[in-house]
Amino acid sequence: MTTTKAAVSFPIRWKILISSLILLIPLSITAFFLVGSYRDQMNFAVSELNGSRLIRAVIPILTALSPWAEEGPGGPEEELINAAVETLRQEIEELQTALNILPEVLSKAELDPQLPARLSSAWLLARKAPFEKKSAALAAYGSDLTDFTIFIADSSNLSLDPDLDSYSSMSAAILTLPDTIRRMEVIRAGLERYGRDRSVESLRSLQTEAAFLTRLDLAAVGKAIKTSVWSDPLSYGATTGMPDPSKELAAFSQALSTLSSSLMALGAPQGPPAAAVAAQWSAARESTVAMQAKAQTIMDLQIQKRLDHFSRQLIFILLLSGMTVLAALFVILRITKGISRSLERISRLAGEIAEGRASGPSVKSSESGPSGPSGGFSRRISIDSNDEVGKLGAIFNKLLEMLEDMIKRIDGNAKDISEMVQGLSASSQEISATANEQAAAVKEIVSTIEDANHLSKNISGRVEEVSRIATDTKKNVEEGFGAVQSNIGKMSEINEANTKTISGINFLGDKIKNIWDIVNIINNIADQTRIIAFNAELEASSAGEAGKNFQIVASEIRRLADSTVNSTNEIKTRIQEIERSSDSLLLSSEQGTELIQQGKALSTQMSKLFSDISASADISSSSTQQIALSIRQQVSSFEQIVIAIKQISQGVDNFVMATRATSATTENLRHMAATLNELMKRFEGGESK
Amino acid sequence: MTPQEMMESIRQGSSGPGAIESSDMDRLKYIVFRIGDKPYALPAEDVQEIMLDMTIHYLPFLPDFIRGLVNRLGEPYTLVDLQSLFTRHPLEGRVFLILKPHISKMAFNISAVQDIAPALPEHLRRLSAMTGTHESFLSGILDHKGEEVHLLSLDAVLDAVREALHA
Repeated sequence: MTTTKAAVSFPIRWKILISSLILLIPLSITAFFLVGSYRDQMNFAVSELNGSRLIRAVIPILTALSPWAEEGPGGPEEELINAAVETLRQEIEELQTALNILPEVLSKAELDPQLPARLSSAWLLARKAPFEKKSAALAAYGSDLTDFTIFIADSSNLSLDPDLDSYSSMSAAILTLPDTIRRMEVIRAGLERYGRDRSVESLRSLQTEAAFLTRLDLAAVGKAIKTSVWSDPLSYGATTGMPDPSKELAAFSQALSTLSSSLMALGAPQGPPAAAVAAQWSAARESTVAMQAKAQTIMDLQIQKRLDHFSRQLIFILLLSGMTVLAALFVILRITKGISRSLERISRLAGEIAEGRASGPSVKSSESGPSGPSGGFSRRISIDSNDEVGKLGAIFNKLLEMLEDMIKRIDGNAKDISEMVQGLSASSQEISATANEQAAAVKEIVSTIEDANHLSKNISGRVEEVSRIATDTKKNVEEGFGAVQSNIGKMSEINEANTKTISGINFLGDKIKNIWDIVNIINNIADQTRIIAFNAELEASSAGEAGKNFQIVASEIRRLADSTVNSTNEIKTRIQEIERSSDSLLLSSEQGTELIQQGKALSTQMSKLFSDISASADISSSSTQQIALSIRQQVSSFEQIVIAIKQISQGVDNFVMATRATSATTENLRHMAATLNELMKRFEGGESK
Repeated sequence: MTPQEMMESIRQGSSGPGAIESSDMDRLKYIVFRIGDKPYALPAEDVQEIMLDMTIHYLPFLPDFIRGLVNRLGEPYTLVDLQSLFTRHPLEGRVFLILKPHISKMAFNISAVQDIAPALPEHLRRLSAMTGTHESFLSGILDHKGEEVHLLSLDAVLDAVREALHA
């Protein structure tokens, strides 16, 4: 058994936690200082913004205040001024709101990832509401802004520390200087105008400017500038290297004061001459420019100092965080090394066991300790530690015990499996042979069913054809039936005509009978006349000579009678001929009628036959259609049967394949069982060593 | 002959196409008649009248050849069926020969009267051969227009009738 002693007893999670904390400290410090620096920069930017915004806002307002201050409340510009002041008030409120966000944001921001965005939003909000429009409207009214500037700056409560106040005041004061220069130009123009026309208006205008200069709190401006220079609690750069604006301030104050006094006294009897005023003006302008330049220089230096301060701050932060990170890494490495050493030992032992060095010599640990028995899963690892690695080692030892026990049991089961696999192999081979036979039989069935299906399809096609022919036949039968009906109608018409003919012939026969009766009457008359003639001749012959003439008459009468008889005989002959013809015609007509009746009967019979044929054709057609439907259903059934049989065949094939796979698997199992036996023998042989 | 021609012939007496020669009056006339399809003749002077379609009044218990009686001008005449007498086959004829009353009040039922023709003596001749069972009722043969006509013996017929009636 290999044993080691752990270096640390704390749980690993504690160690990881401590390592994380150690690593987090410098990061937190870095973040803290970065946030603080960023806050300072934001404040600086805000103050810069405050000053410039305010000044830009108030300049036109103060410009408008000048005539209002002279004329008092109620002047025409009062409304405009009030509107501008109201606008400024609103914008200052908005600015106040925006700037109020900043402290809250900065106080909460340590590691807030949204900080830059939120600060940027506050910045943009603070830059809202341009003043230029209002300032342009009020710019024509002059400016007097010193007190008002300071008033705005103090009353708005805009800063976070006194330094910002002074900086705002400074920047506000500095921004008054360009306006003062502008006023210088106005004064110059006024002086030129006054020099030309010496008018009262020109003088009044000059004095108005002078009044502004008088109201300009130069001391406050100088104080603001000086204060900003020397009040630097954060030691941005102290006052070393910062230029002293006292001289310029003094010259600036003096020049403006002198000019203002001269302008006020201008035009008075004891007043200064215009040339002197002009010279004073020139000096005031130069001093204003110099003041502005100095103030701007100071301001630029202030800004640069602040930027340098921020840079130094950043470098300090980075150095500090770097050192703390290195320290944290050192501690972490020490902690993790202890953890990894134990894990490495466990891994090595597991690898040796996995490589099958169960029968080899025992592996001693690098640390001192008793060595355990060699071979098999009897080897154990010992780690004196209460952390997770120690627990892992204990669990690993338990795992080795379990494996040892499991292998013994597996050995026994492997022998049993080997016996059972042999029996299973024989059974699977038998099943495979049977499955092959079944597969062959199913394939035959499939073939037969497919042939039957093909045959059914042929039958279906033929039946379809027969159905079509039956339909055509029915159509023809119906046409024939119609023709027969038409024929029957025509035959009826012929029969009627024939009947009329027969009736005509019968009528003719009746007339012939009438003629015959008349002829018989005539014949009788002729016979009687002949008999009378004969009697006359008899009487004449009895009369002897006296009857000679009477005999002539009698002879003539007899001849006439004979002639009449001959005529009547001829008439009889003709009548007989007519009768014969009429009889023949009647017979023919009757025969024709009979034939027509026969024909009509035949047509009727044919009509009935056609009707029967039509009914049969209907039945045949419907039957063929039903047969076709049945055949189609049969075909469909056959197809489904084919599909099912094919599925069965596929299933049998799969079964055959499965049995083959089973056979192969059992064979593999048999090999595996043999392999297991060999492995077990190896392990058993190692333990025995 | 037209009536005018006939009247002219009568007026003229002997001329004309229908003129009767005097010699004709001197010839014996015979009535040629048929019984069935056989021609017979009787002297015209023995015949009173020829009648047509007379009503026969049949009498029972008499021989077959005595058909019955016929009524001529209210007088009954015995009707004799010569064909039945000769051949024992009755004759249903329409013509009746009425004999003169002084000979007998008898009538013969015949088929038809063919002619009343005068016959010269050279046209008469005796029976040359037995021509059936009724030759006793015949008295000779007359050539009439190329046809042999049996002369009927009136006496024989009358004797047969009397004999039958008294039997």
